[in-house]
Amino acid sequence: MISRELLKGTLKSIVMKLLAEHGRMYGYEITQKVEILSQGKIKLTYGALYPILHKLEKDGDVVTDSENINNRIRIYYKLTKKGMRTAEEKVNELQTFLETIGSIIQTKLAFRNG
Amino acid sequence: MAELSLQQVDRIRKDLIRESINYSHLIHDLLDHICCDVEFEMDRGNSFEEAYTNIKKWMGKDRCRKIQEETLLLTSNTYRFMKTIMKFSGIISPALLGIAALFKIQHWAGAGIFMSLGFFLLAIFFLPSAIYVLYKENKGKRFFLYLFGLLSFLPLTAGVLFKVQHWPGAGLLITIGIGATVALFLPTLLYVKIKDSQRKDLNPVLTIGVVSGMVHILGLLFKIMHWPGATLMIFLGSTVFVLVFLPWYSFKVYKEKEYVTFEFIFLLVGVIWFILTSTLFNLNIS
Repeated sequence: MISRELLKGTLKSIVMKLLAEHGRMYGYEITQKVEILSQGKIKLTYGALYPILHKLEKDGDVVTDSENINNRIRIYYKLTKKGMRTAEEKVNELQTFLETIGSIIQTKLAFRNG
Repeated sequence: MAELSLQQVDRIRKDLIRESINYSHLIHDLLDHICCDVEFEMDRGNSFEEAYTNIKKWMGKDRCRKIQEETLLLTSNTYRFMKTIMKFSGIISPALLGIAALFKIQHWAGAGIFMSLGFFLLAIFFLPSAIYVLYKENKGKRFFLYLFGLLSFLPLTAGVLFKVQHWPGAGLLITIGIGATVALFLPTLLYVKIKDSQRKDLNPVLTIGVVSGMVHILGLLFKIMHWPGATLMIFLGSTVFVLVFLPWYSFKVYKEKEYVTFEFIFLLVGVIWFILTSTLFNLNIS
């Protein structure tokens, strides 16, 4: 399991990337997708997911629509045009971050080995 | 794939309503998510009860309320600002009032300044911010409960301040405070308790508890104002509260539990404190 501290800053990018790839998704579906893609290493909790989704909605990055399923209302989230651009920026930013962290870790290892 | 019935979905919905989930469409998000989790657990061979209990245990107490709070903090700048004001003024004003009480007891100079400042913070900063935050978090009947609680508490505190400072109008403020407690706060408390109660068999005992509390508090007001009938009201209120409500409620609620809970200890200590202070107050006045 990956620690919550490490994940904290990247969750928004992860959620936006999934929405960009899959079109409209509902909350439970997002958590399941993340769990499958990360082979169970990342478990999105309710508390982590919904504040982010509602913040994205307030900022105009996602829009919602609803459907009545199995005696309850299911809310679907979908990226707006603005959200698509934000998602691209966020994913690029995350990519750069991961590469930077990767190079730091690599350098450290090389130093140790050398 | 298991599918929850309308009754089962309603059961989860009612639990969420009880937690006062009201922000935007968060209740639908959480309801659907919990239902999906419960259905997944049922697919693994659990009954609805087992599955829902497991999910609730996994989520922890008041988890949905905390999610709503985190969502509000993330999405609303006003809420974040008001929450900070509420926290700061909620800590500083009782501290100032506490210092004022100490200064007063020790007959040191400055007690009045601390008390006035503490009350000023309470009235100008804490009360409006608390009303805003509670409205955002609760709405509906629970909001009115907290609103009436604050509206009863404020004149009472002001009355004590005026009394200590020997300013005119203390009696009127205390009357308004106690009047609001008896006429607004306690009936709303009873209504919310009965409405939210999962155990309907507790309704009569809760009604007796709140009504006897109302009679007792009203008796205290009569005593302060030197109106007739105060002693009888205090006697009736406290007797019914201690001899009827307390044993009956404790028997109903705690008989199933094998261990002594914190709530039980708090209930006992609270009742003893309340009865003792009001009796001392009663003796002092008479």
